[in-house]
Amino acid sequence: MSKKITVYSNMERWFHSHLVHFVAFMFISGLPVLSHKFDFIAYGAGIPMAALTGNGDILSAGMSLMRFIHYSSAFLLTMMAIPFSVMMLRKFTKLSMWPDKWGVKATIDGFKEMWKFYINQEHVRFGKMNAGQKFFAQGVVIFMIVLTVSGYMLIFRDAFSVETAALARGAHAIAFIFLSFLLMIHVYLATHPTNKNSYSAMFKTGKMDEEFIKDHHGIYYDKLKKEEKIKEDTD
Amino acid sequence: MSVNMKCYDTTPCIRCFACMVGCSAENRLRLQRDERIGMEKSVQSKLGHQSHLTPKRRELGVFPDARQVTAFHHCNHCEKAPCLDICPVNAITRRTGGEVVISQDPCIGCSSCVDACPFDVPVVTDGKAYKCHGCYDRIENGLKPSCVNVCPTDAMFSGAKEEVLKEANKRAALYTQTTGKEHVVYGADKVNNYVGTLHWVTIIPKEDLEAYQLDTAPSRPAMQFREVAKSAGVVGAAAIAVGSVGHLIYWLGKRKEKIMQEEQKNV
Repeated sequence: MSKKITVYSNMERWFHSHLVHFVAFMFISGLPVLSHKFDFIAYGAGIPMAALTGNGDILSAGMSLMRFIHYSSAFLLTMMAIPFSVMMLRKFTKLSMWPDKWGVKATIDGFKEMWKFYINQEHVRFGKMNAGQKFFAQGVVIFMIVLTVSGYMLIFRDAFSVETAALARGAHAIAFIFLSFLLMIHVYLATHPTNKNSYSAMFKTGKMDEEFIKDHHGIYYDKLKKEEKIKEDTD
Repeated sequence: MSVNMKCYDTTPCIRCFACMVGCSAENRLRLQRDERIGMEKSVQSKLGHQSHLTPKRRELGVFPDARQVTAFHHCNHCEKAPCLDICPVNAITRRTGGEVVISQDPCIGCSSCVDACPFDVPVVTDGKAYKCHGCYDRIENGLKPSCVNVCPTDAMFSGAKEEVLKEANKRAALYTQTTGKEHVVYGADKVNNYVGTLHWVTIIPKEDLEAYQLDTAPSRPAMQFREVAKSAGVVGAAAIAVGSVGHLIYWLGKRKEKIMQEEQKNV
């Protein structure tokens, strides 16, 4: 039986698992505020809320509940993100989201490798993350920072001018829309049959087969070997 | 019911501020009528959020050529009211007469209208948004808006849109002819794409538009980008969904083909 190698730490898996819940809550509760196309969400929440609170306006009752969920999730997510961010910042320069090689050519080559893997189904040697995943991770970090800063600015809007608050509202919506694009692609590829090992590692064990890493993540395997992490199973 | 319009003419205005007092008194009386406030408190409290027509004083120029200008700050009841479009709970509606009205009961105080309004009009107090309601109920009952009702010099007048525009244009032409300064009816023509035309127009010398803080390009760029991003979001999300399904079908087909090729090789 192939040896198991830890690829995601307990902290990474804990954060990711709960991030999914909070992002889902924030996603669903933010949509009705963004557009009237999602009023049905607020109406759905508003029917029991209106009955419980006696608020005659269903949309208003639902939207108030959505705002409460949005604010609560935002606060809990921020609290949860603090230890995770500290851990990530401690190994900031060694994070997988940074390119193995910098430059335009290296980036194009990275995407060519992805094309070979996802379209031509050829065997490719990736690092822990491929070029797309690196871009995704960088995008998520940027948009999450924009969302967090603009979100807290809107909560404490009295401290800012109306123009600044409007800017924050615009930035919040735009960052959310771009983050949604990234998340849609991420969810699709994470649940894609070719990535079932990574999916299991993230949501179940945190480990991958040594043979699988050697075969699919050759660059990462070489790196682990060089760092002598492949010898033993380390958490 | 025809669409209504209100006009403020800066020339006959004697700065008596009766319009502002009338507005404040009207809204205090409304609170008393609705038993939301007692007489004593309604008279003693500042109730800034209930005064929908307020002065904005500023001094222009340098002594000895300085002059003081008092601009009137109020809701313009825009043709394309951004506050109405952005309100997530539909608390802002347009009456048949064209007045853009905030209903405080469903309002959740999210301040979306504050951010969307390029004229900085709505104010949020105690979790509810407030702004001029155009005295829509007075108009719908055959009365004039309170600010118009108390104006002693006809500097404020209102009525059916066509009639008000006709009178406003007549006055502007007369002032242009008699003073030699070009007078315009601000808001009669489309101001820009963000707000369209206005239901509260102002007769003013063209050179004083800036002094009276009548914005010729009212906008909230962040809000406009937000709208563009929302449209792009629909297209982008649809493209990603279609692309993902397309890729999965292609990928499964290709994989089946590869497996069959390998099986043939083994045979």
